[in-house]
Amino acid sequence: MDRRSDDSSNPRRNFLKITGMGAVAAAVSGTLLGTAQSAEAANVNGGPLPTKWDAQHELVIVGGGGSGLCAGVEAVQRGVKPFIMEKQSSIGGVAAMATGYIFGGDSKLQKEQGMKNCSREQWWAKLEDGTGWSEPLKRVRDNSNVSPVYYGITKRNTQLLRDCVTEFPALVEFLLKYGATFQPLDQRFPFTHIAVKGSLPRVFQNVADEIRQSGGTIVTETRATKIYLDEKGKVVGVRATDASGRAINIKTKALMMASGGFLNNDELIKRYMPYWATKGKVPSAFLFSDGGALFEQTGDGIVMGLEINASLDDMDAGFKYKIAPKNRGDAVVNGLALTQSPMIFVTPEGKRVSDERLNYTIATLNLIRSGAKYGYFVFDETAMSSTGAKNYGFAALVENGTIFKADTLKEAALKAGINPDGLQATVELFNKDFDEKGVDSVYGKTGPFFQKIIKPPFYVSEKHYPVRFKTEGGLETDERTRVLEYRTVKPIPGFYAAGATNGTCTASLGDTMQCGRMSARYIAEDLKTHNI
Amino acid sequence: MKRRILISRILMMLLIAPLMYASQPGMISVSGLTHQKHSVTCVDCHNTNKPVAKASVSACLKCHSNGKGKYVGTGAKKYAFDGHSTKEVNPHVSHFVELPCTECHKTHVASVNYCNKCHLFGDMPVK
Repeated sequence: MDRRSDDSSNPRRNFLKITGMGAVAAAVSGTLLGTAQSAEAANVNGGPLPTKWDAQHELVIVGGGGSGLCAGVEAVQRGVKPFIMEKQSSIGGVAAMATGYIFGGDSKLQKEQGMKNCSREQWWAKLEDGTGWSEPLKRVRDNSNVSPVYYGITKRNTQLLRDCVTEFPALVEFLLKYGATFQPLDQRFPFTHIAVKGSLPRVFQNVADEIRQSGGTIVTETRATKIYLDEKGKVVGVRATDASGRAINIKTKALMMASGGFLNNDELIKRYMPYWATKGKVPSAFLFSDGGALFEQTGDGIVMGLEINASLDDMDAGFKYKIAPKNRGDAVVNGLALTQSPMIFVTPEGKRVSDERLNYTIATLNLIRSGAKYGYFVFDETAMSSTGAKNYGFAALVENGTIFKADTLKEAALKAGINPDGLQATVELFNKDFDEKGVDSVYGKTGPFFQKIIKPPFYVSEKHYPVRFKTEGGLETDERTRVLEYRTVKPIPGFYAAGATNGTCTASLGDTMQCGRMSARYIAEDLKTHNI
Repeated sequence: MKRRILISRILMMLLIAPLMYASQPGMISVSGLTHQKHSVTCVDCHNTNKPVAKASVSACLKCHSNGKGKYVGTGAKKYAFDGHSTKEVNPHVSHFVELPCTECHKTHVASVNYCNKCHLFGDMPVK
């Protein structure tokens, strides 16, 4: 099947064609603003190259989020002036709102703070055997629709990931240089670096300032719509819609797609993750389950890449999940606390669903698998002095009633709506395992946050619902972030991808930024050696 | 089939046209009235007496700048926020980078609270 000629699988484009919205909008804006519009404005699939270009650049970066901005500053430092176009009205994208967790080894901070057993090789070993994320890179993917462990990553060529691990110390230096601060490291979790709140927006502001001062350009409300290739299949430019709704054509030698993931693209989800489009569907959201994700993460770069026969990687990787309260304005019990405290996470029947150390995505996936519609956090008074309880403000949540408090476990269960006998049985077994075995016999939880739930008062949160908030797959690239063509498996000349758009790299915060930086470096090299 | 497409296109055009040109004479938000009181005119923000597009943020920064081309605003205040009784928040320093003034502060239509797309700030007036 020639993918280029068959766009029947793209309902959005069909909608545009049938109603003629694309043509009408162009025609109306054209006549009323008094400028001529070329006939090929309505021609969204194929068609001739523009006869006139509105601008010419060496490098166009689509997306002014985390990876695009990090790429941009690397580019200017190598003498390449990027033209960065962002479709939203603000920059920084989803990365600017991230909680700031990055993982790796051999950083300056680990050395300064005397952390042990945290080399890059050790981190890579954890990724390979699955203790870093949750699914080993080496293992064949579990074919279950709702794998009990799987939310991880399976890349055809892991060299790019390897390079991100190797360059982790450089990423930490970069973030420190641009104004990030980090919480003190914890020897119990020596690979985990947590940027202090406010760090990422500050870093991205500083980076954007330097990009502009060095002659790069950042425009907002400008959305790329189509990639132009010459007759040899080489990138020559990109079409975009600017802030006033006008179509512009930009000539470029190198094009980097850093346009994020496809969380809000139902067509791509249906095509590549069909179970999760129907039976396994949970809301795409972040802060609360009834609300939707703020930005339109519509996988624009992936869609444009598909139009020029790009290959995709890891498209059936699971979403990242978390749990969230139902309504806007509900206070959030942050699921990150699961790995930083002795809390357990239970269904309405009072049953646990996972080893809570494996993080909120596993807990949420298992909650979905159990058939429960929502879950609860449960803990005792000892847990109130844990890192998680402190970092995520549990005392305030108890005060405003988001976390129910009671003198006995039974009362706490009843207040929250959990089956009290079920919860009692769960906690009794949990405590018994602690005394007799030193390990949880149901899910294998052990370590510093495996503690008895025994000291009153007892705490139970309000209901929290599963939401999906991040995608993993995207355009397939080689280790130099060059996007591959799907039949020849060779790089499409001039075409690169970074961040969540790059399916060969992970969508984790650290990797997205590092991938952007590396991509800019390779582009600068390729421009210099005329390898584009 | 072709006629149906043509009719639907004409209908769409009639629907779009007023939306694209929903400019309103005068100013109706609190900030809009304040601008009017200070004799700010179309030209001052739109660089023309017959604007057809919204003003850019550089227009706001002509007057509302901290001298470095940025606006930091009224500082942090305590607001009721997302189920917490109070939290100190500066709406102009957030997890957005370069959020345009105009996402909240409108002039010809009522202003909106952009934060409240996701959050619930009690009593955070937006001029």
